[in-house]
Amino acid sequence: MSLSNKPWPALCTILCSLLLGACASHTVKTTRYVQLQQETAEIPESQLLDVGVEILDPNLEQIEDDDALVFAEVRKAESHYMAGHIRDAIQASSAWGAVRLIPGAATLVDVQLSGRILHSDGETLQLAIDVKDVTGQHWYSKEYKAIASRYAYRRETASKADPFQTIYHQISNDLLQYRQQLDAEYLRRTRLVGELRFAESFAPQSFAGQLQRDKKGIYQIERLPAENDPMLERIRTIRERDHLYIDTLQDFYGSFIQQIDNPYRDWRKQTYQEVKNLREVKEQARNQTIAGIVSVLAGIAAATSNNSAVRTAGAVAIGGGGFLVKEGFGKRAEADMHSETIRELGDSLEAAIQPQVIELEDRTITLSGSVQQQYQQWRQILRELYEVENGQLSL
Amino acid sequence: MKLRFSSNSQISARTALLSLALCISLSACKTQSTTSQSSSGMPASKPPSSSPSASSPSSSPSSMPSGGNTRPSSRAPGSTTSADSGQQSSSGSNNGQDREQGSSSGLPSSPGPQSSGPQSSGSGQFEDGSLETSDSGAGAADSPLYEQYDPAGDGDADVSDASTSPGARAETADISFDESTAAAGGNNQSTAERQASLEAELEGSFGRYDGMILRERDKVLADGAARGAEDQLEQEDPGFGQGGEGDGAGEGGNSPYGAPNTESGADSSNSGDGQSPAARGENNGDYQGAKGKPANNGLPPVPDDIPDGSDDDIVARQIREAAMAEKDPKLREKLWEEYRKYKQR
Repeated sequence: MSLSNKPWPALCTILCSLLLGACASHTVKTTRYVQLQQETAEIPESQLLDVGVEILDPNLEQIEDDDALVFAEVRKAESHYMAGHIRDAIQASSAWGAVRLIPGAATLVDVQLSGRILHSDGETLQLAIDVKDVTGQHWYSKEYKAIASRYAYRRETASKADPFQTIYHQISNDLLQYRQQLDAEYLRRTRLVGELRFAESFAPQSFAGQLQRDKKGIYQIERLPAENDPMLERIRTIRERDHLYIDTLQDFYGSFIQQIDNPYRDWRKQTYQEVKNLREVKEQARNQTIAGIVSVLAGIAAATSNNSAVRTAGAVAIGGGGFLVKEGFGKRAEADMHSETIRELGDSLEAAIQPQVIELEDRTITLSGSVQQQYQQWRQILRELYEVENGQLSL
Repeated sequence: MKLRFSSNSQISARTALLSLALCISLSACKTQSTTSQSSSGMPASKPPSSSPSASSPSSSPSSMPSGGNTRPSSRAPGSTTSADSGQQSSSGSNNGQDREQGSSSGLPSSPGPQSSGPQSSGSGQFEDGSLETSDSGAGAADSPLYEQYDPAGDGDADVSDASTSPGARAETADISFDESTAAAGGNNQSTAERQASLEAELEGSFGRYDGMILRERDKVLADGAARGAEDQLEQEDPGFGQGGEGDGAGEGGNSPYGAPNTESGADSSNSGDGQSPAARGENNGDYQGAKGKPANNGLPPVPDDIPDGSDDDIVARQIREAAMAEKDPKLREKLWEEYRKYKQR
C-alpha cells in the first residue's frame, strides 16, 4: 500500500495544491438595497413615542489590537456621524414622535437606542444595536453588518445616500416592526412612565412613590398625579426646556456631521479600494502559503516513491511549493503596504477633523455643564415650593 | 455669738422667705404658661388667641403686624422682636422664665410650649421659620436651643403681635378669635408671598435659561451659515480629498430623505447660488441684483443701508452671503450687523 504502488493520488495531491495556489479569492457580494419602511397609518398623539439615539460607543478598545486599523478621532467622529444617520432613518419612518441624538443613557427618552461600532472602514460596517424603553423594558439587541458596493463610491452612480444606508434602514425597520407589535395601552403607559420618571428626577419629594420598580427592574405606575397638579405643570415646563437643550445639542451634532461629511466620505472612498486590496492580498497570501506548504509536504512524500515519475513530480511539487510560500510572503509585504496607506489616510483624516471633534466636545460639555447647574437650581426651587405648598396645606 | 446667730438666722429666714416667694411666683407663672399651652394645644395659628391672657400688656407694641412664620414681610418684625428681647432681657434676665413667659417677652428663643404648634403644621413651615428667625437676631441664633425652638419663636412672635394689638389684649374671646384669624391670614399671605417669590424666581430662571439656549443656537447657526459660504468657496476651489472623482463635494450633509440635517446645512446649500469665480471677481452681480428686492427662495431683501458689496473682501462676502441666506430674521439681522461692523473697520 505504499505510495510507490499508487502514483496517481500523489500526483493528484500535487496538482490540487498547485491549483489552489493559483486560485484567486472571490467574494460574492449582494448589493441588495433595503428600503425604508414607513408607517402609513396615522398614530394618535398619545401613542407617539419619542426616540433617543445615543451617540454610539466608538469601541476604542479595538485600538489596542495591532491588526485593527482604528483611529481614535475618526471613531469618535463616526460615533456621531452614524448615530445621526440612524436618527435620520428612524425619523423618516414617520412612526415616532421626536427622534433626537442624545449624549448618553442619562437622558430620559421614551425609547432609547444605543449602539457600538464593531467594525468600520470604507468597505464594511458592523454595528451592535440595543434598544430599550423608559420603563426599563429591553426591546432587543441585534448586530448589523453591511458591505458597501463599489458603485456607492462612483461618481456616476453614487447617490446622496450613505454607502451603508442599508444598515440604517434595517435598524429603523426593525425598530418599527417591534413597535408595531406593541399594544396601544403599553405605548401610552410608556409615555406616562417617561413623564413620571422625569418628574421624579426633578421633584422627588412630590413624585416619589408614583412609580415602583418590580423585580425585573421595570417601572410600574402606582398612581398618577392630578392633571392640574401645579407641580406637574412646572415639571412640564421644565421638560420643555429639557427638550430645548436636546434640540440645541441637535444643532451641535448636526453642524459637526455637516463639517466632517465631506472629508469623511472622501476618506471612505479612498480607503474602500485600499481595504478591498488589503483583504484580497491577505487572502491570497494565506492561500498561497498554505498551498505551498502542502505542495512541499506532498513533494517530500513523493520523493520516497519507487516510481521515477512520482519522484520527479515530487521534486517539481517541492519547487513549486517553495515558490508559493515565497509568493505568500511577498503578498504579506504587499498587504503591509496597503495597511500603511490606510494608516496614512486615517492619520490624515484624524488631523483634518480633530479640531471639529474637540470643538464639539467643548461645546457639548460647556452647555451640558450650564444646563446641569440650572437643573440643580430648579430642583432646589421645586423643593422649596413643595415645602411652602405642603406647609400651606397643613395649616 | 448668739446674737450673731440670731441675726444670721433672721437673714437666712428672710432669704428663705424670699426664695419661697420667688418659687411660688415662679410656679404660679409656670402654671399660667402651662395653662396657656394647654389651652393652645393646636397648630400655630391658635396660640395667639390664648396667649393674650397670659401675656402682660407691657410688651412692646412695635412687633404688631403680621404672622410669625411669614417670609419677606415678617423679617422686619422678627428683627423688631429681637430688639424687644433685648429690652426684656435687661428687665428680667431669667431665660427660663422668659421662655415660659415668652408670650410677653417676644424672644425668639423663649416659647417652648408653643413648639407644638408648628410641629403639627408640617416640615415646610419648619424650614420657613428657621430661615426667618435666623435673620431676626444673632443673639437668639446663638442659642443651642434656637433650632429646637425656632418654629415656636415664630409662634411667639404671633403671640406678641396679638398681645400688642392696641387696646385689644384685655378683651373677650371674640376679639382674640378675630386676632387669631388675622394672624392666620397673615400666615397664609406670607406663604403665598413666598410661593409667589419662588414662582417668580422659577420664571426668571426660565427666562435666563431660554436666553442661554438661544444664544447657543444662534452661535451654531451663525457658524453654520458662515461655514456654508465657506464650503461654497471650497467647492469652487478643490480642497481636501477632492483630487479624485470629487463626488463628495456638494453632497455633504444632505439627508437622503430630503430633509437637511441642520438648518445650516440648508443654508449652505442655498447660499451663493449661481456664482462662479469669474463672476465673483468681476462684478458681483448677485449682490447688485439682490439689493432692494426680495432675494431668491423668498428670502427678505437686503437692508437699504447695506452697500452693494462690490468692494467686499472674502470675509465680508462670507458674512454677506450668510446673512442673505439666513431665514431667521433675528439671526439675519445679527449677521447684517456683523457685516456692517466689519465693513466699518
